[in-house]
Amino acid sequence: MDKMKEKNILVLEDNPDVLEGIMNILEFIGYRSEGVAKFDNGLMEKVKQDNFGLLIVDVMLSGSDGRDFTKAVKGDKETANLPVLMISAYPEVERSTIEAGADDFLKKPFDIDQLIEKVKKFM
Amino acid sequence: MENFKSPPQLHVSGFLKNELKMMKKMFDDAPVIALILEGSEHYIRYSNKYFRELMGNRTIADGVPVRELLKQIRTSDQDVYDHLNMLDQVRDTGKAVLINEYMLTYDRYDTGNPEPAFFNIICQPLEEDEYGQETGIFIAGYEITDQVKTLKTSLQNKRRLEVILEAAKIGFWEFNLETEQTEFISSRDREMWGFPPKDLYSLEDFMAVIDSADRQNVRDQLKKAVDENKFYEAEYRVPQPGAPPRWLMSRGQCRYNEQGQPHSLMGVTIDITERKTAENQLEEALKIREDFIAIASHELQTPITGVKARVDLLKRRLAGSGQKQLLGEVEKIIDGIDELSRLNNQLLEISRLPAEIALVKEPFMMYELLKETVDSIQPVTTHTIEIHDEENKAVYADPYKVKQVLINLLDNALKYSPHADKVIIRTRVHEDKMVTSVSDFGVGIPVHERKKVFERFFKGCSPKKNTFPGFGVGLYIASQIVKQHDGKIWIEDNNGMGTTSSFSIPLAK
Repeated sequence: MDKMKEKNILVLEDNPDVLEGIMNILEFIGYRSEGVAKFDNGLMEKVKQDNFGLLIVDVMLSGSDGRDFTKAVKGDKETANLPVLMISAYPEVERSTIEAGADDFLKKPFDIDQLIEKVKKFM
Repeated sequence: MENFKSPPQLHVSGFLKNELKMMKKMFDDAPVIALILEGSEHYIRYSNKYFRELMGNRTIADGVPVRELLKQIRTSDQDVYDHLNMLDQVRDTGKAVLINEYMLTYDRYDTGNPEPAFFNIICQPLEEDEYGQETGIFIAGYEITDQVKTLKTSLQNKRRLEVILEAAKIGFWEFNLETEQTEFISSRDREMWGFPPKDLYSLEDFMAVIDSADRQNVRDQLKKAVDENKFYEAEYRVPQPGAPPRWLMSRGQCRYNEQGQPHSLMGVTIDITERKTAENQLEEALKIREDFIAIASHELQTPITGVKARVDLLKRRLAGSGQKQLLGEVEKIIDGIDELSRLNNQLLEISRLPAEIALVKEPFMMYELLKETVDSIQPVTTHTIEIHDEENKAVYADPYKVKQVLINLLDNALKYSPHADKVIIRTRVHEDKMVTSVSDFGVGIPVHERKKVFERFFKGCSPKKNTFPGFGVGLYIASQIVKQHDGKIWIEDNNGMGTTSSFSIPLAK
């Protein structure tokens, strides 16, 4: 892709291989992305300051729960409208991600077309 | 009586002669034993019909000594001695004796096998002669062999039951519902409860030693047994100081009096601690195994996700480069990864079957769920998934679980129709249910296998007898979810042109 879109995508995923795989796909379809392995206090500030268009958030993170991050994003007026796509290898957590405020859910492992379709829906 | 010779002199007093006449009249046909013996050798002077019948209707000649009769009816020498000894005592002491359950072992019907018979008898000495010697004994009585046998059998049965209960380590109890106290409690039962020895125990004595968590259930089961005449059965814990609780199981039944009022509750107690411990260990072992499978398969999903993302991307990049051979190789790698992922998904599903299916029901539009599901699957299949005849109605169910049913049915339809290019979903309302069908144009399912497909680990075969990959749990899980929704799931053959899988779930009211 020649031209990068204006908005970035934040990918919160603790497995470096999966993180890189997702970021490569996003880059391939023309999106800049930023990868983060864990959710801490500084991340919310980053989300507020940077110009993200979508957050892709893994549910089970080492030491923290991606749903808590989603709740924090959706509970803050400044970030509440930011779309969140949650991903997990456990299909049964889908309900809880939607309850946490996620806009959509994608089961791991996913097909490249499934990811692209979801990303394009929000960007 | 062939060997018998009458005694040369018989002394019969005048009184006895008169007695004999009277006796004969009174006792000839009476249904009791009447026997008169005379003299030192106990010569038989009179025997009635009832006695002769007892002797197997043998001829009893006048004046034959009892000793001869006893020998003739095959009484053992020792017994003959004992019987005569008893008669001698009556004669010598001049005192009447009453004997209950007097045993005579003899061969009544000449079968060659002497058997014991029992009698209640009274031996009454008759008048003295001029030398002060008793001259006769009158014996009256009746046979009680049947009663004694019945009693013995009942005692034997009681002893047998005690041995069986003891050997099986079973406690026995009877609780009187009128006095609200135990009628009987076996020592083993008392020991199981840890009761100090005393005569009576109340219901509250029992309740006090049952673990408080199990008390209400025991009360409920007892009430049910009494009120509804149901078999009583309860499992409960009895806490032990400084040790794990003892598990007991009681079973029993209520007995009612003639007015139909509950009278007593009778039953057994069994110590099931070992069984419960084994069950808990087994449950724990299964849980560990299932947790291991769940964790292992989840751990596998992560590297599969990473590899798949890269290989998918590689395929995209190669697609535009014209390197067809390399592209073909990458496509094969992707097929392998997809299969690996599918098998791994099934492993995850197996590990949480089926108890963990907890439903959260809500009303939702079925068509929207169908569309959402199709949208998520369409990008990963070459088949076109079409929705026909859609019913725009709301159902009342767990949308996430119904989605899983749909995914499993679609997964099956796609897997079993590798050479077809489409799958059709249809919905229709039948009575108070929404029926959703998934039709494929694949290999079909033989009639004898249609019910089996909902069994765990069932796998279909292609016509060439090559099995399709997977563990065969998809339809089983689907059937479990549908059953939990009070729905039905079934399979039909499309006249050899594939298969239609359908399920029904309740419409929203």
